[in-house]
Amino acid sequence: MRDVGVKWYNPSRIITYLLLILMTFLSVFPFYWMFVIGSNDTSAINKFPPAMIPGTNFFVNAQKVFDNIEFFRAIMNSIVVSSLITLSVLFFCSIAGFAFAKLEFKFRNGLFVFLLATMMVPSQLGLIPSYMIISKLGWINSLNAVIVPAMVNAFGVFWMRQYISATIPNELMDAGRMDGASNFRLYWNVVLPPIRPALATLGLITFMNVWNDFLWPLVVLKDRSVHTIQIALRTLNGAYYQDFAMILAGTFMATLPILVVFLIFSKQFIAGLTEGSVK
Amino acid sequence: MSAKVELKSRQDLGVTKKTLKQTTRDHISGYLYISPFFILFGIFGVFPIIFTAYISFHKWNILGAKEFIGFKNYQMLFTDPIFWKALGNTFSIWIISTLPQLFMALIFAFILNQAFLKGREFFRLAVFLPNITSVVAVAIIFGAIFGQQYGILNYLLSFFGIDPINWRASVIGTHVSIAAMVMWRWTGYNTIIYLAALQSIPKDLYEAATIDGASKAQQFFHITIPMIRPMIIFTVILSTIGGMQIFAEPLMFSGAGGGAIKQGLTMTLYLYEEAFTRNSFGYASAIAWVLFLIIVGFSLINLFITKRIKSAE
Amino acid sequence: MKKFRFHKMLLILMSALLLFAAVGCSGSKESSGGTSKDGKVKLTIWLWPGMGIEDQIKEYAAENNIEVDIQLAEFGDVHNNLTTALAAGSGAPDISAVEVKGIDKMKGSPEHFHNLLDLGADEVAGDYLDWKWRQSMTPDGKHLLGLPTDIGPQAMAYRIDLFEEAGLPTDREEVAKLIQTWDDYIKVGEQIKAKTGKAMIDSPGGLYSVVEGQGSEKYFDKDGNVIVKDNPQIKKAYELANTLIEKGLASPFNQWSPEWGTGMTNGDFATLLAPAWMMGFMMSNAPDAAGKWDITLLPEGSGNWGGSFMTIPKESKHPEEAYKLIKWLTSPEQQLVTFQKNGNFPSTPGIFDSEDIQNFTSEYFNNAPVGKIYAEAATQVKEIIEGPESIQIEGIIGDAITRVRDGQANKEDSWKTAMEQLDRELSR
Repeated sequence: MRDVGVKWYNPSRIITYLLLILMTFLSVFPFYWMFVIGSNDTSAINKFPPAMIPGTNFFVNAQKVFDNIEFFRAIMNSIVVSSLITLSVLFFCSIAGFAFAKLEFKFRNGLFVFLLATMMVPSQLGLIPSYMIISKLGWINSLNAVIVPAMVNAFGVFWMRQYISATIPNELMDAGRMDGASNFRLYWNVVLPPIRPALATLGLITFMNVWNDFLWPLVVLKDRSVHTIQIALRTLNGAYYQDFAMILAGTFMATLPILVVFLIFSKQFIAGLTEGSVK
Repeated sequence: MSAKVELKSRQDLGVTKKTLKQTTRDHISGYLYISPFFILFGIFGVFPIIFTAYISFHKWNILGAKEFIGFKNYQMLFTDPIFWKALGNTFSIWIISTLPQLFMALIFAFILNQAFLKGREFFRLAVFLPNITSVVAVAIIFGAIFGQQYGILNYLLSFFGIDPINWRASVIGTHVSIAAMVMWRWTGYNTIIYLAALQSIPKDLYEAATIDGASKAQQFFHITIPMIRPMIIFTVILSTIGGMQIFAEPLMFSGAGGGAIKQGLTMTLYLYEEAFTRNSFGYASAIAWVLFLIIVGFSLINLFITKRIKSAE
Repeated sequence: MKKFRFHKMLLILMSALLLFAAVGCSGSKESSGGTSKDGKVKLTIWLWPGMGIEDQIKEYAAENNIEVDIQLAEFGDVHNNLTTALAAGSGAPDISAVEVKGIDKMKGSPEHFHNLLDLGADEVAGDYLDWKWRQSMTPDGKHLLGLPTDIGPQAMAYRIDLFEEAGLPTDREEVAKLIQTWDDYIKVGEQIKAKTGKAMIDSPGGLYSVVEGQGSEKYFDKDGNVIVKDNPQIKKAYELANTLIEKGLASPFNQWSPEWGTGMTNGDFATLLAPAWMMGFMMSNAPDAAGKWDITLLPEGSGNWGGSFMTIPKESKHPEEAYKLIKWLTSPEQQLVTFQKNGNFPSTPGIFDSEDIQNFTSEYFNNAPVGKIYAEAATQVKEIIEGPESIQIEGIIGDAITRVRDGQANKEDSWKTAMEQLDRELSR
């Protein structure tokens, strides 16, 4: 709906667009530069004034990437892992968030605070003890080691709980109960539809975090066949020196699938928009 | 089975009484629905935490034997000038990067949510792109931007007559650079979160306000912010937790040691360094626990502040 | 209510499904000591990319009827993963490459590795450079953790154009004669600075790490005591690094930064104390400077930067087979093959006289006979006792030098801070 009576060259509009363009430039420039280096050769990084124009080397560098790592297999692994985890997280976090937000049970608040506290523990040290557990379960070099511990996380539950709290009025719940709906029904039919933007957001964030994660998969996935794309990209680093052009060509290619995912999730976003929010 | 729920007149005015059966069902459902998280956490989360606490009372170099030393690690920590430096760095970087970031994210989200905006899809993608860019690439590129002699930023500044700044060597330079990297990467992330939150605000509120003659700025402060208060609290807490644990950006900018005067050393980086570079796992565990307590304390403070500032009706 | 139960079932089913999907997706792979289906011995080997020895390993496996599983990971990750696996007691491979920086720490806990001396390594000790052999040995000489692969002997790469501009000789033999001590080096540096305005060296820390190793002892004495504060060689190294800074002979670049690469191309510094493997780096990062650099020997001996070993973690169930493999792989004949294919500089002096090495020249470096030069440098490296914290100590002192270079402390205070940090860290 257009704002009535506002001209398009209204100063605040222009400022808004300028701001957005500036933001876009700042956001995109490093990504663009990644492509520039990835399409030249490594010495381009050291040139001064810096190289700004893409070169012709992209496919040469890409070929080097393919020669050095099992690129597509790693992408597949990443897709499998990210998708499974995202689906799992969307389901388990939303239902837990629903419980924390709308159901009443003893110790609810205490448990929620405990959940929050778990996010405050620095995770880096957990590498070694977690490795020990995974080892005992026999999951080293299996994608399970990466998928199972991530199936539901505190962030997602917290996020869902906040969103559901903010958008679903209690009256809706009560009315549903009046109609004899079970809790699951309430969750599935009453709560889920309006929180679609939150789900899309959580889905996107989760997919992306898993896609970019490397610290943990690094420790538990050693065999090349189970490498995710970030680990595979890391093996492009030489011991003593890096071929930056090849590395950046690789990272550029590895980013493309996520762009696709983003665009898909964005559509969901817009769908949520038009369906209207809770009135 | 339709999802339509009818608000009939048989709804009591006043408190809806819950039947005993309902309460029991709520309890069962409640515990059932939150159990996946706690079970998973019980298996994968509890052991590492207890293990870390246990190790913090020992001296252990990962490969050798553990030696019990009681509170000695904690004592050493409080007299360790590098720890205090790391603490200062962490807070300094947090202030420079988090506060502007959240504010900008809110503004961007507000703008991106406007009906008149053309190319919304494109701008949304643009704002989120930094978050998708590989961390490795970010390191290389920002390293080149903040170089002292050949950096792009100094090159631009020289047009304004400013001498080249040694970003990497100075404390403030490093903090600004790292804050810039963090802001670059995470503003889009927070924007997307706020954007989702903004979807939940009914459009007619804005329409009514516009008809009443309220400016966009007024709408922003009086409608938007109060309505998404729970979300703001969410992002503040999350940014506090995340900001206290900044690790990847300082690691890449200043190197594992955090720089010669430890200018880029954040607490998590110090922790990581102690554990994996110096193999003082006991000491690192002590750092982790102190960090945890700091995060809890600081989060509570921020929660308190945020809750007081904004309150919706 | 039927609906209620149905949906609860759905919930449970979904969770189970997810779990099974994940489990069914991929099986687990054994990490070490496996036996393959047809009863052959299976060895898991951890390497990082660029080592250049994969084909040779596969060749050995084919000829000796064993199976090998080579797992590649990023250089730093190999070491971290190895540490994690050893700490957890499971998941370590049969053979792991370990670089000189990592072997230091591993030496502190030799019980995690098979003692190669027990497997017969004594007989091949003579094939390798003394100082390299020592590096993977515990200070008491009783436990050998790894067999040497390549080394990184250092020589002086210098800019022909800058030397010329300063009116100095540019032929590599004459340069070597000109700079026979570090004091000579500094004098030449001042001349270059006066005539060209350029720095003499890329990083004062680079000089420090060479000079520190040119004495008879470095950080530890034979009993394992830390001798940093009193060791005259360390003092000398620190003083020299500071002299470079005071006289403005050091560039402000940090090694490995993009600017350093730019400086290499532009000739912002006249010399670089380069190990053998750095030639490749210079060639790919500063291709425009081809022909402008030459190489000659360092004054007062040489230094070493880098180099690796092949180790056998204790968890391996096939130590004898593993030992046979690495013995073959690191033998002089095979190291020559690796050199020919990948340029890794061998640690076996027996082949230094071979044609390949003697005749190996580099066009980039003005056709210098780099093979000969580095072979000579390799024999000059001193045998020094290293301890588990050597790398840490070097890092602390390196930071001290950086502080002075960046103008954040004077050299006395910086040293004091470093020593305090050293005391604190060693006590942990």
